[in-house]
Amino acid sequence: MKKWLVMLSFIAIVCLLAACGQDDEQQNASEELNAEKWEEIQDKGVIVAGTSGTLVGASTYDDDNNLTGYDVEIMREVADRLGLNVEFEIMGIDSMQSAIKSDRIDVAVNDIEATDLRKEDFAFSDPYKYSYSTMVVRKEDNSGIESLEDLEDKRAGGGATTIYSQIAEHYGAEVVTYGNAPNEAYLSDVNNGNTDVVVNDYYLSKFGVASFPEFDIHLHPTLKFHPTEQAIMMDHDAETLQQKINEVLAEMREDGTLSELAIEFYEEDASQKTEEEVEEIEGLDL
Amino acid sequence: MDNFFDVKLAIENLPLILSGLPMTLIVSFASMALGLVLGLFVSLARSSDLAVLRYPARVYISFMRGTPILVFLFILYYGLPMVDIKMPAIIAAIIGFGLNSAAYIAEVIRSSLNSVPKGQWESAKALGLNYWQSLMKIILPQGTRIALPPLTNIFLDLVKATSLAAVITVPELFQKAQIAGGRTFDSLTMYIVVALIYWPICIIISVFQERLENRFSRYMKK
Repeated sequence: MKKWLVMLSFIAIVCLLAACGQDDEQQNASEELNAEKWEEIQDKGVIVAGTSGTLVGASTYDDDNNLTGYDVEIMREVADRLGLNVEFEIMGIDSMQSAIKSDRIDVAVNDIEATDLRKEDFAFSDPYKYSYSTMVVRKEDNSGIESLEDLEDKRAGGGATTIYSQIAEHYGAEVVTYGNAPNEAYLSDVNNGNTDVVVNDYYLSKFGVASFPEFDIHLHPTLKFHPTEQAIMMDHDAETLQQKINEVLAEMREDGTLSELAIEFYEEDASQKTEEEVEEIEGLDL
Repeated sequence: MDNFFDVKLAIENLPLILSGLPMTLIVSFASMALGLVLGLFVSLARSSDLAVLRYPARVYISFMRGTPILVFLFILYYGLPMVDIKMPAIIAAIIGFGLNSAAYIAEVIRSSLNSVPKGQWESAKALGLNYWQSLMKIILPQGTRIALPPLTNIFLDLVKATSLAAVITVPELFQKAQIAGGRTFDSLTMYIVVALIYWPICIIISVFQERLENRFSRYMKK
């Protein structure tokens, strides 16, 4: 009668141990994939995309509470052109890599930067968005920053492990880290002098600054650096899927769909590289 | 004041946030039900004379109380598919919270049952009732009265803890608040709104606690 209790305890523990020792098996299993992922998606007729739903411009809810945004609409169009339905799973950016590895989602679209480090573990489509980093500083004196070198000994607000914090640190700034804090925390701290600068993506900063007109802050007028490319992230071995997605992305670039969507959500053509000069930063392991 | 709590934004986003309420309630109640059933058995195993029951129960309670529920949810939802155990997010949440609260519930039930005087067991035995009959008919009803307040505590905790299910894609209250915060750039207001939704839910649960307590105490009144 009560023996199943013992069983249950053991099962719980065994499951946990099994989950911990998964890395090797996972790698072996995924070597067979290649076209497998694509075939699996075709069989289902559905491609499952992870997205945060909390990123203005890229992945957000409109006034009628429908999921939309540049990344979301691109994903819808890609799926449509591939003859698939698309389902979105709402999750934080920190869950997306695990979710891809465990097959919870097929792709992730969330303004994800295709860094070399990430490319070791995941495959990326061709970029659908080009951006760069900029700084939010105080209006009156640009927080005393006129070049990247001026970051030295400044206080920079940022997330703990983001590339932006790494950039600030690289130039000798003291990084003030926030947990999963909302925008107003970062920006009001620049405004009231608790920090001097927030280094972040140009488009996100643009939206952020615009939504707090009461703060005496602006985007730095001249500093543009660390060009970035955003792309659809997927399993490392989903090679056919990657190829199919790239084909339709190229089509969408060709016929102007990408530019159209970019202008709709970012008020400028984020699908093209900017013509202004963007400074590359050497010696960063991103 | 608008910076602290923007009433207009709050009202505009209320429907979106409230759309997460049913999911919060489903996960809370289903987890509590699972936790109560499982908790009873774990508590009986924990106070059993048989080491083969007692020790696994102790390990179970120790593990569930000693590890963050967030990690456990993450393992259930993102980890288990790697060993081909794949369940929907809501099931993973219910199992996660159910298994976790069972450990706390087990300890509450154990102490409540222990607080029923030994003489009650002996009298039941003298009347010819076996272990299960004594437990279900004599001991549990008396223990329930004592267990109610701490069990309600666990339940209230659980209702609020379900906000963690947002991490594994369950579209409950807190996830909706995060979404609203994302699009309005005003997370502070949205988090306050969500707090003001949890509170009345918890008040209602507390009212039920009082009623149940009165009911189970009726034979105590002089």
